[in-house]
Amino acid sequence: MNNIFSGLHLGLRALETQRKSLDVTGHNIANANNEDYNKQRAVQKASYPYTAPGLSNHGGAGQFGTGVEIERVERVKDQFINSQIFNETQTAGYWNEKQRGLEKIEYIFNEPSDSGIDTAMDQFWNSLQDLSNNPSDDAARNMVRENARNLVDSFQSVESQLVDYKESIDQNLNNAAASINEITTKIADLNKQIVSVKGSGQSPNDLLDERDALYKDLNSMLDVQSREDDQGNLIISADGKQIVNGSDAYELEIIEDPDNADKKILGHKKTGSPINVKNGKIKAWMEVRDTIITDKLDKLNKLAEDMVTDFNKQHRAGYDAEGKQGKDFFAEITNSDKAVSQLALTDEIDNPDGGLAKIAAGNTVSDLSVVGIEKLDSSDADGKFEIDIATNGDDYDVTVTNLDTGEVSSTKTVTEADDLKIGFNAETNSFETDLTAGDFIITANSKGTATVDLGYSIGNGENANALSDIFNQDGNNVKSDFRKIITSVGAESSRAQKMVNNQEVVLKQLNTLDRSISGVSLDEEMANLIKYQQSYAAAAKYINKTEELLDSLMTIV
Amino acid sequence: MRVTNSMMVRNMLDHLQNNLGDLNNLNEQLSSGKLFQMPSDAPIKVADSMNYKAQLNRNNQFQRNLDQAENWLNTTESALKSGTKVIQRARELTIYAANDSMTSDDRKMVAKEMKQLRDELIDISNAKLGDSYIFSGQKTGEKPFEVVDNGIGDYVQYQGDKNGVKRRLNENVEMQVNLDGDEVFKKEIEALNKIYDDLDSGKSGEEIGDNLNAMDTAINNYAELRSEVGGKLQRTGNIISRLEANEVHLRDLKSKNEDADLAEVITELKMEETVYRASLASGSRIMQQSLVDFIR
Repeated sequence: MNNIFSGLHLGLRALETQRKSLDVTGHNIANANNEDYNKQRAVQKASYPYTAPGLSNHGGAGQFGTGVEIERVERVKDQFINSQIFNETQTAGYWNEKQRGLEKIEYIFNEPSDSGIDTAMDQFWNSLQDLSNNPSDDAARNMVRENARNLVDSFQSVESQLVDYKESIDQNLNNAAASINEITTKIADLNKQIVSVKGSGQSPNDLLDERDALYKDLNSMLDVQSREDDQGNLIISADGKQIVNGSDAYELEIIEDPDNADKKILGHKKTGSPINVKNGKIKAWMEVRDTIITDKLDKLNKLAEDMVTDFNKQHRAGYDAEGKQGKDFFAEITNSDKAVSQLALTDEIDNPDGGLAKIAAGNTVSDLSVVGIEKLDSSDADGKFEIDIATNGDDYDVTVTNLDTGEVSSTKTVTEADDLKIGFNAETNSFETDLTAGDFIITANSKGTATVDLGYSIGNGENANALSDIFNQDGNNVKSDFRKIITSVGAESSRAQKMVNNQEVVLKQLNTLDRSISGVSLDEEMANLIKYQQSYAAAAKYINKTEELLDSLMTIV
Repeated sequence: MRVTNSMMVRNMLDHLQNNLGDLNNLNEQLSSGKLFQMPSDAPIKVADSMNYKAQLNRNNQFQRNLDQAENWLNTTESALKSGTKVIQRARELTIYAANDSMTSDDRKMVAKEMKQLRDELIDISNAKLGDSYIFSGQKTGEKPFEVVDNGIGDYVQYQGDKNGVKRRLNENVEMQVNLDGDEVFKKEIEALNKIYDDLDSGKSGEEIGDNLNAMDTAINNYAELRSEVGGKLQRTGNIISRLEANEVHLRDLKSKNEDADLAEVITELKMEETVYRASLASGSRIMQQSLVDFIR
């Protein structure tokens, strides 16, 4: 019934409602600097009016309002922008970590500089040139050996740092799995609380804020998908496997890749199956570890192996300070995947006692592009020969003229099947198919004529010249291959930088939009404070007036 | 769009970050003098830089090679010059001794000097540059001529080889710097030896005079050889000039590629500083005001 006391109740409701609205405003002000906070609003609604139609109600004017109440405390959030932010956070995490990885690789290579592999190669070239000018000088030989050691060191330093970095990424993955599990546990906990609050009809606004913040952190790690069920649970899955379902969190762990036992990847503990990560920091780490570093290591190894092969081949084509045919300069590479770690001088060259003399600076041949000569250790032939190479389809025809006697040999055809090699006996001026017999082995390189002087001269530095050509600037060789590696690292790193900057801009725009909608504006809250405070004062006045009415009534009696 | 205080603060901080980043870059350029520090700053320029550095290195090496080559050629030239003097003196003595008024004893006296001249020519032929004999071909560790004294025409034996000593002077440019000792000195030494023998063993003036032809041939030979060596020295001189000019050119290219133009960087730095200060000033003004200040 609408009586005088209903007025008091109306006033009470007004006071109550304005006070609660003020509280919400206060909460907003308190959280003005909380980055994860989303503005809340107390939504006021008129309370149920009187009179309800019925038999015992009298006629007359109606309905009369009964005041105001808080319908709900609303959390102001645009879900669409929210989900966009989550997606872009994944991409931002990916590019950030990828850029950091590439930057580290650049530091490891340390180019351009005076102490990297490039300079070491240049110095080696210099010392080989000096050797070709002074083949009899032990100081020049020593420089060649020292610079070779330096070159090996430079290669190995880069390689070992890359390998170390690769291994340290596994540690990152371990930490990542642990922190993901921590987050999912917290989210599962929050789910439980949120569901129970929602079940009682209230809005768990602050809990939702916390859950969103945690979910955003999760997104920077890896690509996850989520949906909210009717009860308010956030169900999260990664690569189709659930990691949060209601109040249960399913852990992730680091397991071995079923295809490749050396590789560690993310796995789902409950089902035991691997998680295929397609975005986020984890994807970046795995890409740096498995693709980028591996690619650079492969290229370095190939470079080292090619260098050793080419250098040794040329070294064996010359003769050393004792007139003996050169042997290998660098130790043989037996494992292509570990070429750089196997880089070393052979024991003969490295020997402090006599190693210098084994450097093959001299060469018997006048034109190495035409023919290569290997004198057998067992031979003591000393003459001069002219070797003529003519093409014969895909094969070569070899003719040898003994310049001391004038004798011309028969013509022999060498084929690819023979490796373009044939032996020669200087005494009989005839060819030997058995390469271990005779005096020297002829390798046909191209059409032309060259002279060969089997006598050894200490002043001959032709082979040193040819060895230095391996490190030429032009053409496809060691130096240009190395430059390509550096350029590609630089280009990839530069691109990653740009992508990081791009993502920053994108996220910034989304965040601005989000804050525009859900951020706390102190000005607005100030106005609200005044608004609610004045309404409260007015409601208090109304109660005062109603009380005066009661007073008047009391004085009648 | 609704703007909140925290948004404004965030924006201001972002802009300050950007400005600081730019200031940092410019500062690095100024302190290092280089436009880039890492390959990712400018991948193509880095590749070019590495290229120029290597080319400069090669240029320097070739200049060193050329110095060595010139030393060799100069030593050869001076040996030829001394050799020419010896033979000219020998020629004079031959003419003098061929005179019919000379007695056998007189000629024996001349023979003594001729012997010295012969030995001197052998010495000249054994010229060395550092540790290397320059007239032994590639057998630079061995004296070119050994005295065997097997009679006239076989007084000395050539121990060197016929190979050329080549030096790489530039990309794809090789030059032989030595002369074959056998060609340059053998005949001449044997000729001097014969004259000595003729004088010592009392041959007639006419027979002694027959040796003049050999002397003349030798002098002509040496003149030709000297001109050949001179030509080579001319060529090395040209190559050195080219290399030096190239070095300047390469340094210039390298510098243009990688050096920061200090004037430009300093100007930009000043501009950035101004921008930074402006953003600091405006940000701080705006940040401080809100409705709170105005409510009693």
